[in-house]
Amino acid sequence: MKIRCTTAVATVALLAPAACDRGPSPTAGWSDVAAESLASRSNCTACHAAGDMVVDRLRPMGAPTMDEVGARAYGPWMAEFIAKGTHVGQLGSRMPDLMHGMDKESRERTAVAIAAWLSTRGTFDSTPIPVGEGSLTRGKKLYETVGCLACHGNGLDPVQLARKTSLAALTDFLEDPLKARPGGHMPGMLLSRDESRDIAAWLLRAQSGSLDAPTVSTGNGLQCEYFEGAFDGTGPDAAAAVLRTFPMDRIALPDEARHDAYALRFTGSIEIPQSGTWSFHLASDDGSALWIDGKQVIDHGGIHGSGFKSATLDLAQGAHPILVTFFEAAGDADLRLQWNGPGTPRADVPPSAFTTRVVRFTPGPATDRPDEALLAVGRSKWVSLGCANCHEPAVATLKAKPLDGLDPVAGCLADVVPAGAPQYGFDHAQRSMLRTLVVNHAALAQPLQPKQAIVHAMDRMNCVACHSRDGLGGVGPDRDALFTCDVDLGDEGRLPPSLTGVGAKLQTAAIERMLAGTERVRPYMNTRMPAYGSQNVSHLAAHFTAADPAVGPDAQPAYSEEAVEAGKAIVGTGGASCVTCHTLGDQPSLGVPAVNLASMHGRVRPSWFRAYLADPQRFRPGTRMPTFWPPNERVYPDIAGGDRTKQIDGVWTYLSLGGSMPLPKGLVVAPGEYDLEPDARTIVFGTFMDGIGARCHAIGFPERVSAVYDAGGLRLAQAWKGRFMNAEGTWRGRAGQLSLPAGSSIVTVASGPVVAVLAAPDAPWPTRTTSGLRFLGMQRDERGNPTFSIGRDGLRVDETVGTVLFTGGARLNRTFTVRTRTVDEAISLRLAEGSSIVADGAGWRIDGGPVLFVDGARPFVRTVDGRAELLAGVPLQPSSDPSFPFSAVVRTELAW
Amino acid sequence: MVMNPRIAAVAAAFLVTMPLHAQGDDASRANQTSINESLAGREARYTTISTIAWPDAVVPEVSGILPMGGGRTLVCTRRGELWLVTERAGSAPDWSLWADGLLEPMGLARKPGDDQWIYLVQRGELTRCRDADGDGKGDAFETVQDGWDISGNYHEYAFGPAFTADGSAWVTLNRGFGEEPFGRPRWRGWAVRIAPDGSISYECAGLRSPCGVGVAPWGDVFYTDNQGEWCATSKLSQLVRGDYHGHPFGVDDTARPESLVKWPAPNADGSKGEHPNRITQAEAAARMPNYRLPAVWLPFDKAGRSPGNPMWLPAGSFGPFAGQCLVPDQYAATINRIDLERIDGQWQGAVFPFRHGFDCGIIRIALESPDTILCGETNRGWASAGSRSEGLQRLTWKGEVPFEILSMRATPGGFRITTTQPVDRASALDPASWTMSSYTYWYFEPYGSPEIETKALTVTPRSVSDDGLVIELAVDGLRPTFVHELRAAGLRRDGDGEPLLHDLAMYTLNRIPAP
Repeated sequence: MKIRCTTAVATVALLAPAACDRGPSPTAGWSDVAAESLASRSNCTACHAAGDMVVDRLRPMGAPTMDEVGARAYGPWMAEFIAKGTHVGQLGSRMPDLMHGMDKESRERTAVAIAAWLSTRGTFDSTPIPVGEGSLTRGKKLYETVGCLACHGNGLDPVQLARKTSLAALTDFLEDPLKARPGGHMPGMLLSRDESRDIAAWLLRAQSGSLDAPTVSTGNGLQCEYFEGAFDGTGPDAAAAVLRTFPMDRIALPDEARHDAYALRFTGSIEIPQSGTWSFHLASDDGSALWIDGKQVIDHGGIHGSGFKSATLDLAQGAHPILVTFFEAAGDADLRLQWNGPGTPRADVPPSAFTTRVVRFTPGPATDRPDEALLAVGRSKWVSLGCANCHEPAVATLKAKPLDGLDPVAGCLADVVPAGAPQYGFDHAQRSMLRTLVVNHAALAQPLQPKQAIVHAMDRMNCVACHSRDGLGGVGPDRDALFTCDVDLGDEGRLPPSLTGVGAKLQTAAIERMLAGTERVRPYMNTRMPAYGSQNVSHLAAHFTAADPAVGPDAQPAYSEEAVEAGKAIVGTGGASCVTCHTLGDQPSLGVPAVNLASMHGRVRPSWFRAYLADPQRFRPGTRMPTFWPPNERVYPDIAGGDRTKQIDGVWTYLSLGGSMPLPKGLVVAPGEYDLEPDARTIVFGTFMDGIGARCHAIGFPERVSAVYDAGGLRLAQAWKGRFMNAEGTWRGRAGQLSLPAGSSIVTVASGPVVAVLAAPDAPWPTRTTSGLRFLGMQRDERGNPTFSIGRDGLRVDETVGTVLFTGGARLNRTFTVRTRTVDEAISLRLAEGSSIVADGAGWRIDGGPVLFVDGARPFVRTVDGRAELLAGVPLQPSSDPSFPFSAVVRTELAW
Repeated sequence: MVMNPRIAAVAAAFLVTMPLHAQGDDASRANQTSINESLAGREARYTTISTIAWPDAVVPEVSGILPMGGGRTLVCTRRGELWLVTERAGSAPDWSLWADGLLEPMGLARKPGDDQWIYLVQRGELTRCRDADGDGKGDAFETVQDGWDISGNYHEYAFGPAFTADGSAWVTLNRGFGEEPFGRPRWRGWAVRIAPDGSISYECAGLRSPCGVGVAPWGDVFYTDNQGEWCATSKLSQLVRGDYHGHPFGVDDTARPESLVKWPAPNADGSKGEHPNRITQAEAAARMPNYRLPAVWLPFDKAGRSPGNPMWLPAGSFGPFAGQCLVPDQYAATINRIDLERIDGQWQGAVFPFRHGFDCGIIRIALESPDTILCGETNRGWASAGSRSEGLQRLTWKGEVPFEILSMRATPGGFRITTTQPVDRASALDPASWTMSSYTYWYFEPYGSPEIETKALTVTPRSVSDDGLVIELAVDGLRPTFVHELRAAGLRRDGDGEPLLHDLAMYTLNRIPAP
């Protein structure tokens, strides 16, 4: 039973203080979660000595170390902060006012002296730091998703923070908060250096101009994003995960890159000194691409040795957005960009030509080193006020009465705190709680039972902000929306798991790893399980194990090859098909990315595993995990003789192989299983295509020429040679991947509809949306070759796509049948596009590469907005079709 | 630490709003067990499941079925193929590739009055196709309508078409999950109607994952939705122009001029109000004038998890069940049965278990003959019961009538139960034969809702009709909009004392009929 001063009793206390304030009397077996958490966070035992058992129970959370605080906190800000009355709640602090009772002047003088002394502990760097513009946006997103808000809400005051610290220092702090706050009060969020910097940038946005709109300026150099992994084509796409971001002064390989299997993306602007025709020359090993003004200028894709690839374009004087992507597979690597243009001979593009948009973070201006006399005062006050009792450096500490000798209504717990005693700003309820605690000091020497210890720890460390356990804590409706997941896993994908029964579920060592933050089990969950520091929480693992008894015997089933085979059959498609949802080692599942099967054997207890598989709903109400072994049903009769115990033990034995599990059915893709290779008949394959559209019909001709028709964009978008396509991304698992051509020599065919009525000879060619045209459908001929139709009222164009065998290789043949209702409109066809199109023998050479031959019309070249277009009027003739009395046929052949 | 919720406060908030479905209490698990015991074995006496074999080279992820008569069936698959399956006695079924190159079609249909064309929905369009050159293969594919977007997300399926008698096609458009590589798409989460002239109208908003759309014999259009965010549990709902079905994914499209749906949460003055969250279903219906309550909730796990297309059995089909609706389930590899009635213009009714034990989750069913139903199966990307990942199976009615609850209908003070065969009067009139509970759901964003405000109700059997087929039950405390879950564990057949084949009926009581 807890005894507290209720409000009613407190009223009486005004008349007869002793009647209540001395009221609480010791209670056998006393414990109080809230009181003990408050004592832990208030660090009571730092001044009031207590026995080891008491300290072990309270686990005081300590205070930030001031060993390097001069690098972290700005001196003048520290002076203000220390001089303030109470600090509770400011930037997360629980620091009491140790100058309670001093007059304003001596309080400020003392604060200045202490701050001066502290500011010599480390060096505050006042240099403004430029950061790429995108950092703030990324930082805001991280701050809102990784879990900061679970404790901080929106309560971090950005103006205070901007006064307090610098971008470099806050980045350091976020990357490893336990270094400055070893008590685990602020856990590490497993942030990379870049993520820490981005969050710091968001939190310190008040240093970058106005809070709402940072001042963006133009600085020298480029922003370089660095990726690791296997890339192809021209390197990373927009979806690739950035590992690090750093500035570069030119297009070149950075020192930060490892030897193989990485990629880069440079962004910024290039200053063109003089309007005119400019040539760019990109050398790379392996693939790369150059984009200027949002358009691809050079495609130097694929795995190859170094060598220049060039392009020429007209550019106006001034800044143009530039993007270079690059990847290195293995072996030698190289990356260079050269230019030449009006008044500029061919040379590497110099650093002076590159600019980038940056936000500058300016901390407080540099201050002079205080004089030695002031430092001496500061140091002496540091000791005499008792700062050193909580903070490092603990040069010398004050002695206060021991905990077991305290008067519960005096000192910091008095109704009116006397001058000289620390003023914590406790409210009435907090004071009563701590008074009861002091009275029950003897009970504090008793260790908590495991269940209690867990409840205490979950409150003290604020685990309850995210996790529930036995009905306590968890994500309430007010914060529900902060927990997110980007894949289709429902609430299991976004809400931190319940800790009810977690000791029965997880092996002790696995709980320890979770608490230490060395294992991230649910990578799909945006909120991260933080690292609290082993020294602060590792004892909890044993408590969980002791508090939650196993749900059955933990004996490991005997290992046998038969068991592995049975398990593998159950895990694969055809069995329970666990791989439909669960990741397995480095293999993504066929559907959603549920917890990795390769991690199970090292995490969960065999007893729990057996019970859970038999009835998942019992342990996780509402889980999407199906019941694969319904009671009273014989399932998978062909596996392990239909014996359910052998089947489940088999899965466990199979999972015990961890990363060495031979892949089960469903994950094994036989070589070529999804390769589409046309044989006698032309293949048409419906798919999403990268960079093209979501309504694509890819066409593979037996002549090893391929093309793709984009029904959404009303255009034959691309053609290529060699291999056709692989359908795995479209036909495996949930699919929906963006396909890429499997072959090489990719050429862009059309960026929009082939037909238009131009209002003027120089009118821009209409786009899909401005054309008024619709996709009308597809026909297949006896060879399988497709005809795609587009049209609008009174106009229809059927485009038959095929191949023509020719010396030097197959050509792509397009036959356009144009039908109209009248001859009143001048119908044009756009047969080719490029930077340059020139007559070449009987055909037209596009960008110095492919040659287009035209039959049935007389094409001409026009240039609009710096782009060349090969147009042709349509020579309409009367036809016998009553709905379309006029028609014409135009054929093209593309050779490359 | 600014926010440091005190345990007691958090606990209090948590107990009432725990965002998990807590359906797995001991009682319902026990119920689940009794269903499982009666599974395939008992049901097989009345209906048989057989498999239409396919060659190794075919991957029959059947997403649409069109019986053609004469042992021929056209099916479409998720790989964008159409196969013509021909069955002849004494030989293996012949699978002949009829067409390919399509984008994940999810349904096949004929348009009333049109015997020229076969209609199907690809991800991006309603298409009609035919064999133009008479070589026995489909070769002409005409785009009828493509007035919706795809962003390139795997989940952006288009379901249907379901034709009404006037030749209008209904298509339901799934929402995406995750990346949208080609930009924010329009009209996702909508039901659209394509008129006989090919024009499109944007009829209903707020759909989530509307895998099945079907037309009832009397002409009303219904669809099924899969449980998830904003969709408390799976459901069968009527599609009526202007309705909002609750999922806000595509709700901003109500601002487009083509929209036939108004913003669902207007303020009193008609201005755009805040979209609600975390209220009960009854509150949602009160707050949003165009919110359409489902005709029948399909309670989680008790009636599967992932319904496919609703299909009504015509007269003369499947014995006493003619006229009722069957809904397959892609998760449980089952078929459930639904009986509807109309109260005050609003459809409502009961769902019953019907058949378990298929080889794989079913997304499409089609009536092949009065006694046979073809089942299109695929679980690729989603877990399902059963031992296969895809297939084409047939359910055959054997002719013997099982002892079942044929219908459960609302009365002013309870329910009227009709059985397929005369009941044992003593068992019917024994209150201990009947148990009932009622519950509703949250209307909120988390994935699926627990059953909430659950209450046990007292059932008092009042009378049994002279023919022994109709039982009047009086129930105290009926609550409109709540699911009323009946279990008739003690009811016995007249004569042999046989128990019901399925003793569970779950009735969605949108309206209580007036006396």
